[in-house]
This record gives sequence, structure tokens and C-alpha cells, in this order.
Amino acid sequence: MKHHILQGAGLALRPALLAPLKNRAPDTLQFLELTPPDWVGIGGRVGSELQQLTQHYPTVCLSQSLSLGGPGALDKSVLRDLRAFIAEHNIQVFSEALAWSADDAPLFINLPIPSTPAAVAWTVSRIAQVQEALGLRIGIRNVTHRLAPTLVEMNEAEFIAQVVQASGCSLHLDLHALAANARHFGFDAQAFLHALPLHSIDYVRVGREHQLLDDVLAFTHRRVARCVDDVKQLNLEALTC
Amino acid sequence: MLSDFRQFQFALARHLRDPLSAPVPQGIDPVQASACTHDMVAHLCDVLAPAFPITQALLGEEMWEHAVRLFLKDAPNQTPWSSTTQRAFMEHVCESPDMQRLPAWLQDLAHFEWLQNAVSTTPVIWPTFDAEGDVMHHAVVLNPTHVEAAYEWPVHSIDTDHNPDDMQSTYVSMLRDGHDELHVFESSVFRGQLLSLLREGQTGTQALMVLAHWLSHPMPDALVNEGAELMAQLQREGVVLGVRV
Repeated sequence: MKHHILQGAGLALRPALLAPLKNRAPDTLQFLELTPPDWVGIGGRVGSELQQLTQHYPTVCLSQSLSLGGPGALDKSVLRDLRAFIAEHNIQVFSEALAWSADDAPLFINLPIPSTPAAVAWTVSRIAQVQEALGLRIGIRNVTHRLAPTLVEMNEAEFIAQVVQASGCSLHLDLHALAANARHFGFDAQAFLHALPLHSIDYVRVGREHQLLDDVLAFTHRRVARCVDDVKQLNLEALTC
Repeated sequence: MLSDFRQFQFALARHLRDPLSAPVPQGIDPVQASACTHDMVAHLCDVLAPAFPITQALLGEEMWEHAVRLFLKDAPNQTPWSSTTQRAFMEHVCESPDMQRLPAWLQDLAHFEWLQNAVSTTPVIWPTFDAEGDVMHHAVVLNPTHVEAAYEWPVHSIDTDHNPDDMQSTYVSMLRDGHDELHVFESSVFRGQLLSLLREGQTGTQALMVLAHWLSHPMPDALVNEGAELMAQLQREGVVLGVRV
């Protein structure tokens, strides 16, 4: 039986949101999402205000710092920092972008991993290293891209399915990212969704920029709107709206 | 030997960092690649801007973006955390040959701005201490966030509407108090040396005697007596928290 750790509305916390949240947190807020670069290695007032929030709300780590499919070596110090961060804030769910975002240094962007069998094997081995170093099972998350995938030997959904199957990690579905990519690159979002290993999904993000998602759902990709309904039928541990 | 896809990734990263010099890898749409570089620069600006508000304003939009692009091109090895990225950028501004054409005071300013941000946010464990103890006769406990910094320009007077005219050796003490408020105090070479000796575990009197010796002061006891007021000032400012327990 699945146990729902999180449900309802989550907030992707930014440092600029600390003050408004301190004054008045919305009653509907159920949990927080933290992107590590904003918070790792930060103490002082910002650090203690974050600590107060993470003691109060369940917290998800929405990471894109590991460059899972990247060509360089995994940064051991990043993994150490993340492990300490997870412990410090009692992080319950760790979500990592299925992308690459560094060569030997950060690139400050998510790029699509070349979808070749060799890249599947490479990414799977790195997920294993990450799970070992963090001491937990992670979820990999689809993210938005600006660049069409290259060296394509399978489509992205197949690539995700193979990585999930071989690594044993879970799948975190970002519907906003799926909608944005489907619109940008003109593919069928619903077919993409159904090609995913849906049974491995245990975390779904519905919206980030509500207006964009609403527009996408309402006007340009009615099929994605049906995806939301499909997803709601799944037995999920979390659904962020 | 690298697999094909990793070679491709390294080549693409090289191009995205330095579109003018590194060729576009085969199969990549130059327009999309250019959009990627634009996003990288925009994201990096978002990370850096909060730590360098005056530096950014004084450089102007074009020069600021140019500095960010040069930083991206040189790709210093750093963790992806905002705090380490800001530090790496400050070092880039201060040390990169490309940056030497900027006005010299901008480098001091970038360091001063970065330091304020770093002192405000660096995680520390507050030590235990006795605030009532005699700092002249016991080893003292210094504020763990305290730093001394020396500049060639009057950094604290630089603002968006005021650039310095002349060099002026400037020493500052910077710290965060127990309520997480940042404080910047005027300092001096003498103060800095006294604090170094205190940090080594010397009492106020011992440290002042050492300084009197270094200075070949004719009346060391007089210097120690005068120094007692400086020790009291350091305690009022929160640089010295108290004595060890």
C-alpha cells in the first residue's frame, strides 16, 4: 500500500519569499521545495529562517546540481554537501533533474542528455553513485530544455523509461516542463506521458508558473490537460499544484 | 578514451561558454545554442546580482554582462552553490587579466561587497564565552564571523553616485552580531595585528606588550594602558565576545 508523504500545494521557496512567508504563510501551503544552490552553505538570518520553515513544513529537495548525464566527474563535495543538507532539513523527497548542467564546472542551464544506449548506461551508473553517496533512493525529474536533443537513438520518454528501469530510482513527473517542451518542440505530450513508466512515478509537479501552465493547458495543448486527468488517476505519493 | 556522446557534450559546453571562439558542434542549431548561452548568462546574473549591487550598477548593464560572460567562458572550477559562485566571480574580477582594464577601485569594491554578503550568511557555531571576564588578563573569544580586510581604495564611500577620486588605504573590521545584523567598522594595521595576536590565544596585555616590542615603543606600559580602551572598544563592537571559559 502506498503511503502519501506529501499532498496538496507546495511552494518552490526562494530567498525573496522568506519575508512574505514569515508575515503570513498561506493556510493551503502543505510543503516546501528547495533548490540547493540558494540554500546550501547559507547561515545567518536566511539560514535560521529557512531552518524554522523546514522544521514546520515537510520538505522536498528539487535539485539540478548533480549534472546526472554530464560528461565530467560527479563532484564528491557536492554530494557531501547535499547529504548534510538533507539531514539538516529533514528532506523527505530528493528529486534530481534528468539532464546535464556542467562540463567540469557549472553551466547554469539544463541540457538534454544525448539519448544513446551508452548515455543510458553512463547515467544509470551515476544515479547508483548518487544514491550510494546520499544514502537514499532518488527520483529523476523531466525538465524544460531550450535545445533540441542531439545524437538521438531513442525518444526522451524511452530514454527515461530505460534509465528508471535499470537504476531502480523513481520518476518525478513535472507536468509544467512536459507541457513547455511539448509546446516548444512540437511533440505529443500525451503520447510522451503514456510511454513513461507510470508505475515508477511517485511525485508529480503540476505547475510552476501557473499562468503559463494554464495557457498551455487551456489553449495550446488540450492533450496535456488530459494528461493531468490521467495523472490524477495514478496512485501517487504527492501531487503538487 | 571518452565515449562519443561525452566528447560531444564537452564540445557543446565549450561552444556555449565561448560562442565566438569555439565552433558549434555538428547537429546543433546555432540559434538554439545562442538562446542557451543567453539563458546561462541570465541565470548567472540572477545568482550574482544580489551579492554585487553597487558593482553591477557602476559597471552598467553592458559591462556587467560582459564580465559575467568572461566568467562563464573561463569556467572556474566551483560547486554550483550560489555562495561559491559569488566567491568565484569576485576572485575572477580581482584576478583575471581580462578584468584588469576595469577601474582598479572596482576590484576592491567587488571584494568589499562580496565580503559583506559572505559575513552575513556564513554558517557559524557560536562559541561559549564569559562576557564579564577581564579581557586584559585572559585569553579572549573572538566573534566567529569577524574578518579584517584591507583595501587600496575607500570602499565604504563608493556608491552608485560616488566614485573615489584618490587611493586611500582603508582597513575594515566586519562581523555579524548575535542578532544576525552586519556591522562594518573602521580598522587599522595596529588593530589588525592586535586581533591576530588575540586570535592566537594571547591575553589583551600580552598582545599589547608584543606590539609595544614590535614598535620599539619607549613606554610599553603606557601602550598597554592605552590599549585597554581599544580592547574595551573591540568588546563593545562585538569583535571580542568575552573571555574563554
